[in-house]
Amino acid sequence: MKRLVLVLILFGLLVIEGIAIDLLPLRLLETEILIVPHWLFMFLIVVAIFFDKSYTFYAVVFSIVFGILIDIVYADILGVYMFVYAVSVYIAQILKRLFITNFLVSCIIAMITISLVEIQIYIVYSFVGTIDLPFMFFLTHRLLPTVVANLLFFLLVYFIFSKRLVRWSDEELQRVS
Amino acid sequence: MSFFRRKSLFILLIGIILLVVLVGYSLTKRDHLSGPEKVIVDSVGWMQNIISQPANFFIDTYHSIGDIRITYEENKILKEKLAEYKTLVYEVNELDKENEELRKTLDIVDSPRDFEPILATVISRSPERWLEQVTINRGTKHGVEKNMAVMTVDGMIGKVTSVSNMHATVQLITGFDQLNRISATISRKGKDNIFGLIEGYDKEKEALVFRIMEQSGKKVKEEELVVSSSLGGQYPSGLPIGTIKEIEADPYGLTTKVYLEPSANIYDINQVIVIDRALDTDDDIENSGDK
Repeated sequence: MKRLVLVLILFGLLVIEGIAIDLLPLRLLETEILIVPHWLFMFLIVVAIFFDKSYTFYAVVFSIVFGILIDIVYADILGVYMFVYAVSVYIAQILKRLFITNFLVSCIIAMITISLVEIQIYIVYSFVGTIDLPFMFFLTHRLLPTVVANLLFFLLVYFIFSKRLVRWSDEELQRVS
Repeated sequence: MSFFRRKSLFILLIGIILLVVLVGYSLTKRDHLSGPEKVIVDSVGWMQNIISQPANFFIDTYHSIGDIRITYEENKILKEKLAEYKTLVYEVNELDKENEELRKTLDIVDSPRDFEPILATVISRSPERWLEQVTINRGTKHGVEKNMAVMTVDGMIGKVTSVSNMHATVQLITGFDQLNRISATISRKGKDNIFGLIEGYDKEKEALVFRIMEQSGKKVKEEELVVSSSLGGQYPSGLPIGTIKEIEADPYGLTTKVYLEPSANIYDINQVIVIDRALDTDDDIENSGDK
């Protein structure tokens, strides 16, 4: 049943991502700095680290489903977020297995994967021709601010959900094994 | 490493193929959204509709705290403007009446200036900032169609790119590319209007690029207003687009490149008007030709 709760939370995040940009102060919006909310993805990373066991792939499945939903609702080019989120969440799961998950490691995993998401989106959109920006401009004006801003959201999600997810995971997935 | 095991590699390859197929599919010139897309857009839009109202109220109050400081100055200017408007309204009314009567005598019913406004509220803004699109809560059911112009009270902000039953996606002018040119004009007395095309948005200068085609020695000045023209066949004429910020001569001397400051603030939009042109647009004419 807890899996259903996760789906509902993810759906809620999908909906409120649409007003996330309005939360930023107007003065920041008018500059060239782009901050992109990846709240859904940050939650998926927390799920990947704390909910999934080493043999389950709930986070990857969720990222495929909700990635395609983001593509349909917010972006006219389908498939980009689906692919990018799924690959990055999978990488997060591999990284999780290599280290002992504590607070610092989780933060580093979040930072690495969010950068990977942004870089992959940059590459795909450059290929498609939606954007035409030099990589350095992208790095300073979009990648860095986005990583910092999303890390703040990650901390919020981490403190609210990390313990809970471990508990839910034990309740749910123990019976399967 | 486990990442390079054969199975993972296989899945990754399928993923890449799927990505290419989906991207290719969405880049083809689609006139309508597919069925499942419409259902998803509508159901997510329904949820967004519910939360957008309280959220916007909260955001507005939060933004208006900053506005309070400049209220006094603004009030003074506004009062002066209001006094000017009073005489202007009277004049416009008279001209409107006269125009209508003259049209009647000439038997012209529809003018490219006329349009049916469809009022809509912005319910969400795409988190992907490179795409610059917003969702509004009006769709096919309310008469919104693809390629209609969208404006706020200040001026044009974009056009409708896709429509579902109850919602529509609007591409903002700042996200326009070479394929979405708008024909625009600077109004002058007599027959000396200056025509050109809005070519897109210059991200580094933060201004719209307006290219004036003809080189007739007509001088443009800064601060002049550029409005849409009906010659493009899609938009009604006379919607304000932007004011001239900077003028730059083309290196070949054939065209003039002008940078425009958009008249509407595209970062602060809540209520928008979708414009249904009274005259047939190019699309309508093409469609009726098919039948």
